[in-house]
Amino acid sequence: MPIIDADVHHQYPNVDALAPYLPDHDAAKVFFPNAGIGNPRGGMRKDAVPPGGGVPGSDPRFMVEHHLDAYGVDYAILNPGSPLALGGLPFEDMAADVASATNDWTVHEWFPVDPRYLGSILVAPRDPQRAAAEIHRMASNPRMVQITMTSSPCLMGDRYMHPIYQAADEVGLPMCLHVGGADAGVNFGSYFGGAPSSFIQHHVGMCIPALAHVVSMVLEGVFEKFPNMHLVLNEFGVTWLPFLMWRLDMEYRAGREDVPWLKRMPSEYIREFVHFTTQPLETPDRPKDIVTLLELVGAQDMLLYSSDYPHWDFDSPKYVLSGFPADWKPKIMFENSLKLFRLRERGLALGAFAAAV
Amino acid sequence: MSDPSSGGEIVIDADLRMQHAGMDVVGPVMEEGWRHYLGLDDDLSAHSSFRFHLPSSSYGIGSVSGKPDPAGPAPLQQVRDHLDANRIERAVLNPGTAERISGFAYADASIAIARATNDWLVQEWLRHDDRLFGSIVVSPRDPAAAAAEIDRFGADPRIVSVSLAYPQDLLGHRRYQPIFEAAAAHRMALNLDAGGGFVGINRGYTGSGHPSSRYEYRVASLLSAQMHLVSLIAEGWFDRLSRLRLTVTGSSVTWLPAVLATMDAQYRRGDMDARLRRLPSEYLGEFIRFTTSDPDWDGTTQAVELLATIPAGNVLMFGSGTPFRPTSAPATVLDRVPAAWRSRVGWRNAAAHYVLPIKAKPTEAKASARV
Amino acid sequence: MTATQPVDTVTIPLRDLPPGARQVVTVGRREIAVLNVAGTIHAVSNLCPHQRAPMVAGTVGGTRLPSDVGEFTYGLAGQVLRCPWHTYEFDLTTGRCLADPDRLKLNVYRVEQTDTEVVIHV
Repeated sequence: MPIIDADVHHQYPNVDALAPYLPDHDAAKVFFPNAGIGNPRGGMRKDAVPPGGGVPGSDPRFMVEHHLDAYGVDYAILNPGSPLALGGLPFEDMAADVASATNDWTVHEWFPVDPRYLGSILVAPRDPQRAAAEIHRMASNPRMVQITMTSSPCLMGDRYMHPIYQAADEVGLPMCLHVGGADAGVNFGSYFGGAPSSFIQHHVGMCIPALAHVVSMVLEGVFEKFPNMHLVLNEFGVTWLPFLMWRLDMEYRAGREDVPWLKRMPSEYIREFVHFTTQPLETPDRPKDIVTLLELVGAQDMLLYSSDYPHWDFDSPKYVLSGFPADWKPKIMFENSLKLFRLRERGLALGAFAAAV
Repeated sequence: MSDPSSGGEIVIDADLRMQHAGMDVVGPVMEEGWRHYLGLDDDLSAHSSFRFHLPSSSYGIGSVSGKPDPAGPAPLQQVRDHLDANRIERAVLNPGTAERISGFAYADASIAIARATNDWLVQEWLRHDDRLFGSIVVSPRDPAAAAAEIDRFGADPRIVSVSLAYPQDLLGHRRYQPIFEAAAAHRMALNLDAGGGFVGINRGYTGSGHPSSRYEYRVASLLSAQMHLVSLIAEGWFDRLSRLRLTVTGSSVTWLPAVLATMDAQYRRGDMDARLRRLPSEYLGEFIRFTTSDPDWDGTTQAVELLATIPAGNVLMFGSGTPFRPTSAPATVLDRVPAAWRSRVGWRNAAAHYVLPIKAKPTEAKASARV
Repeated sequence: MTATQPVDTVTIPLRDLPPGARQVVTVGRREIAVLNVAGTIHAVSNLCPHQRAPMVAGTVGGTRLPSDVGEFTYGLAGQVLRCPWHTYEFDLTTGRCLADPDRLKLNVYRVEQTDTEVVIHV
């Protein structure tokens, strides 16, 4: 079966890799705030270190061999892993410069290595105007199939963020929010009630901001105002969808006048505009229970397979959907991504992949 | 090298900075289980290159300063050279890691790392020079554990102070009572060390947003020190614990007259719900000291003019910041304070505040170490 | 690696497996991770029961034993093999996953060790 892996992390070998693409060529100034809590077991797969050593995910040729070829991945959507904390960086201009440099680095140092690599336009959300300009600068490259950011400085429906969505709407690219950075730097953290005190708490709680952002975007009318933009949520989990959709619709019946711009039930916006990458997929004791839950809200049409390579919590495409119905698997493994990222329209569905789909 | 301004008197340096480069340094003195958990041991597989790190400032402050020069003399030797060159008879070492421990999300790990840092302080620094005294670092994430750590050093006469950087709540909050009680019981001065406002889980100085540049950040940190000082006084801790002392390091001092004037004015208007035994500014002389290791002393007379409006001669203690903060020699600083303050700023205030034993007391003055 | 007949045992020269070394031997369809942990040889199935990650790339060490709230007791030093992907812990002597021992288990193979050889019984 064809595979589109919608969340793969390429890493800088070190921050000096950005120097050629920074306006002052000075990578020594660049730094990323950390989250105050790291994974004591390490953040990377132990078997993903490139043969010459260095950071897992930093060698584009080794990733081809170790991931794309090993699992038969037809397309891998790269989402820069090194700057996941970028959204927490307090210096707006440095963050925007790093985002631009990262995009140029992806295009120049990863795309030429293998046609299966696709990219994400990284933007720094603290300056929405500069983010919008970056979207317009990069969108002409057909292999840049989405926009990505981490850690919004505010609820994502807030009008402060709308210049970013305006640009996404104009260029017709989905907007991806990846976990990370919510607990970094000057951001306020995943847990609204206080700071977790161990990594395991942090890693559960990093899902929580997505619920708040989806509520905000739907009710603020983002998908009415920018109907050409979809939202992709990376690594936020998925089985909270039934709760959120039912609760939103219940509240809408009572409070419709607060948001008179909505033309449909809130859950319908989620069904049409919000997509979820699978990894890390929740694993109930009985595998069929997750299918039952997802079927209730039609999530088989919203899910995009992702591996999260080379991060430690990688989901193998061979095993992660093993409890799913046969007719869901092609949708999740490639069809939903093919459609959302418009690969055919972009001239990207080529060769054996084109024949298979 | 000479120190004419202190008139041949001794000097006490109340703010030496010892900073470990990372957890590898404290790994050897850490308990085995924590050493393993934090990736500081040699993993038997030789496949684990991961090292857990303390959080660093969201403003990258540590990335632009504060690192020892690998080609230079060892930090301990730098410190000893500094003591020799400036005739410093006593010095208090403050842990430069306080801000990183304060903001560490992992409460239990922050306690373990503080413990290891304190053992490292004793073994690698205090044991090598009798002139050195120490300030242990504690994690505000768990005040009861911090109190236990203070008790662990209660019998060590070389430990005279307890450092913590900006905690999660205002310093006077009752959740920190165990720390205050333990410090007072052992007559260790509490050291509020500048920093930690935007480290790890700590989310800001101002409560109303984040600074967008390092310049704003450094200025805003003064606001934070002010709020913690006001909180500690207003919550009545100096009434409740007569042996409690507070040192404020790295936070400038020229703002102090304005803050005290405001505190007194509001107090007289009856704005406070609780009654203090004294006017707020009156706690200064007995309980609170500021070190001089900050940019106030960069060469203008402005600081002195401002400070002359309060009894600053009783409040300031010379502190150099050697070797990890911009260093000021005693001559430079003491030249700039009025002659009438020099002896007190140079050593007397510190001797009393930390209850330091002084070997050779100058003949012309009574060294009154008030306990 | 040298596999010798019959196929129900595999023999490895001890000089190929000094302390700290590990390797994979394949017997039929079985992949076996062989590790020398400070002089003790362990042989377990190389594929993690969760998502088939290569256990030979995992880390070996000790871990925190069950304890009271707020206490940490270190133990099982050199006896815990941790999956290189999802960091599940397996006891090298029993093969059981520490967090879910009834459902997740690595096969453990009997090892005989002489002065010159390691014999693994498959």
